[in-house]
Amino acid sequence: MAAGHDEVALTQEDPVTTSDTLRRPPYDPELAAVLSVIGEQLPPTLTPEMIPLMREAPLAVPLEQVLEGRAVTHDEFTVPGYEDAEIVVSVFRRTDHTAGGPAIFHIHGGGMIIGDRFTGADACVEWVERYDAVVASVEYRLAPEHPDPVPLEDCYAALQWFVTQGDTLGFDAGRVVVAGGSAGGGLSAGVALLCRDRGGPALIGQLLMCPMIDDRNVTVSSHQYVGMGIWDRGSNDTGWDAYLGDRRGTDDVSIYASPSRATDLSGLPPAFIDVGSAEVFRDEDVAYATQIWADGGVAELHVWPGGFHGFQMMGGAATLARISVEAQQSWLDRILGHVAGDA
Amino acid sequence: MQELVGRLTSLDPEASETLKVITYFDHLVEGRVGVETMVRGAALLSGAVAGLRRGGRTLRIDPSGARLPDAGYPGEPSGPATSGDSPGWPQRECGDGVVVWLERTAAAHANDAMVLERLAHSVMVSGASTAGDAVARQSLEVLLDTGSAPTDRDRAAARLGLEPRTLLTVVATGGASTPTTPRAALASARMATPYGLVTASLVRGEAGPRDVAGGTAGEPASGGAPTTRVGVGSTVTVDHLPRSWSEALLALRVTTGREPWVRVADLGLLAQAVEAADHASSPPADVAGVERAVEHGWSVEALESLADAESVRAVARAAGLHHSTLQARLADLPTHLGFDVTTGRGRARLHTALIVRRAASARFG
Repeated sequence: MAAGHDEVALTQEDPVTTSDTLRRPPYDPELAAVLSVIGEQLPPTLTPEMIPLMREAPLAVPLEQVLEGRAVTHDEFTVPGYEDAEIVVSVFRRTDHTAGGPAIFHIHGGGMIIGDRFTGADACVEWVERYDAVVASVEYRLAPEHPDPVPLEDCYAALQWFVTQGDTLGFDAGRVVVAGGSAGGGLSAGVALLCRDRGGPALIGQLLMCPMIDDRNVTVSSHQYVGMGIWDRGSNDTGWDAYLGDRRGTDDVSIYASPSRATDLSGLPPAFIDVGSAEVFRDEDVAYATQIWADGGVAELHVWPGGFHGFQMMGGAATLARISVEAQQSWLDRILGHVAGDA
Repeated sequence: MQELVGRLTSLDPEASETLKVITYFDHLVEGRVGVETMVRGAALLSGAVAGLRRGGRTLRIDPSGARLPDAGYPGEPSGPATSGDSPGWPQRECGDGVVVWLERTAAAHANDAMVLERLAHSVMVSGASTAGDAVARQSLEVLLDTGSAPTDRDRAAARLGLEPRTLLTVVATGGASTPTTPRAALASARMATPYGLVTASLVRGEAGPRDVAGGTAGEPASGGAPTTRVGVGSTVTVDHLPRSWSEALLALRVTTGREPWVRVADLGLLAQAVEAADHASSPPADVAGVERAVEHGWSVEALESLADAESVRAVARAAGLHHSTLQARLADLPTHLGFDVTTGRGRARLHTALIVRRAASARFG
């Protein structure tokens, strides 16, 4: 029940939101139904004490199951991460892969604190099949054990390694898209900024799916979803606190760690940004697209009405989940020059 | 975060998860979603193709949420899973002409029955099986209108799946803020009439009280809300639906709180009296007599009681008077009415005048 979520919200002790008159976009009815069935597997608010438990939880879809019956290979590479630490990158390719096509560098989500390189693997495998893309997914180290800048620098280092492997792995190093959801979307935006400012690999696109990009947690939407849905305000606090520690919210946070803080978003590859209207990240993601446009850049923004965080992955068959995934695919089609019937 | 929860997949084939099923469909009903979303929910939860057939059209959705081509439905001889006469798939009716089913070919899963039950319930309470169907509504409007062209009527009848010889009854409902439509209605439409907004519904065959509001028509609604009034026309073939409709409306106009369900067939010549008065330029003299009596303090209830030839004590109770007081006032009544009510003919005139007056003053919506 939507009313049930409201009641939960009232139990949270937050000075701004302990009011039952708080206005917020309602969930899409079909997504509310999905959330009612699936949301019970996860408390709305993730606290620091819950991090170890969350890491132990089995992944929703095991990799073997994702790859089952699909003509996709999986290879693992140990590569140098930040300060030359060893990290692992998984690479997915079609068994009948033809060299010279595009590549997608995937960064998984999980609030900077949980998840691994196989979370979101089903989307990676879809891209492999549809575009004959070489898709890499990086096992960056997680906060709070490895706070900023370790996760982002691991991603950047792995990307630098990846683009040198075009000939070996069979892709065009000049056609690489960075992609990620949630925290992975934030890290993807950060990687794109690093590439720009360090003269790193030239990316052709950044696919930012409901990205987590603002440590300050001060927007209207960040106050609208407390104790409800998936990844509420409190969970966001937990994630950013782990990632930035005492520096969170101060001037000592880089634009790479918290891309919303960037005042100049020019010179970036075309961005795809999507987000639900009923989630904490809504306003920071809309603002990011707005800033890209203000700076003369290219961005495609989709705000899906009544979508909760992660609705497109959780609500697979729901109408909004389907059309939002189609929108991502349509953007990738255009960025990668995909011709219908290619795959 | 979302990655750790995974996507919503079908329920465990072995374990009963009744609460999840109920919660899921409750959200859809609360959110007033369309039937397609409901059918998709059933497909999603059961992991089987779910289908709905309404007004000759079929909707099939697979567990990934994709629409499938129309391949008939299990109740039809041409349906793909039909073997002999027995439908191959579990199915349920939710209102006449609306069927939902799950295309489960292997053994039923633990939640199939509950998913199907909740799907049928959701479709039914959504009103999608009746008033929500715009095509059915428009078709009914065409069929009830005497001025519709024959080709339009044929097309409308075909859309509702009606054969030329199908026997049908029009039911008119009004009175409550949201009048209940017949459960088994093929189609319903809100009609603007000189007596206000009335819902016309088309029922196959004859219509009884149980066809309306699940049998609760005529019983006081909870919370003191006005009860749905029901008027039933005669049972006719498609060509005569305009007549059944005007009769249903007439019957509805003569309903009372005590008698909220009236069939035109039960009115006999009284129906013609009402029609004659409808066409008269001024109220009939007997109706004017009733008005005078009302002006002189007679309640309609007391007059009805008199017309029903009840005892003086019963009439006094209806009038809220002592019976000796009533006796005195009865002496004056013929001067108001213009006729004597102590004779059989007088009571018949009073009864008729009361019905004509009620029909003339009826207002709905």
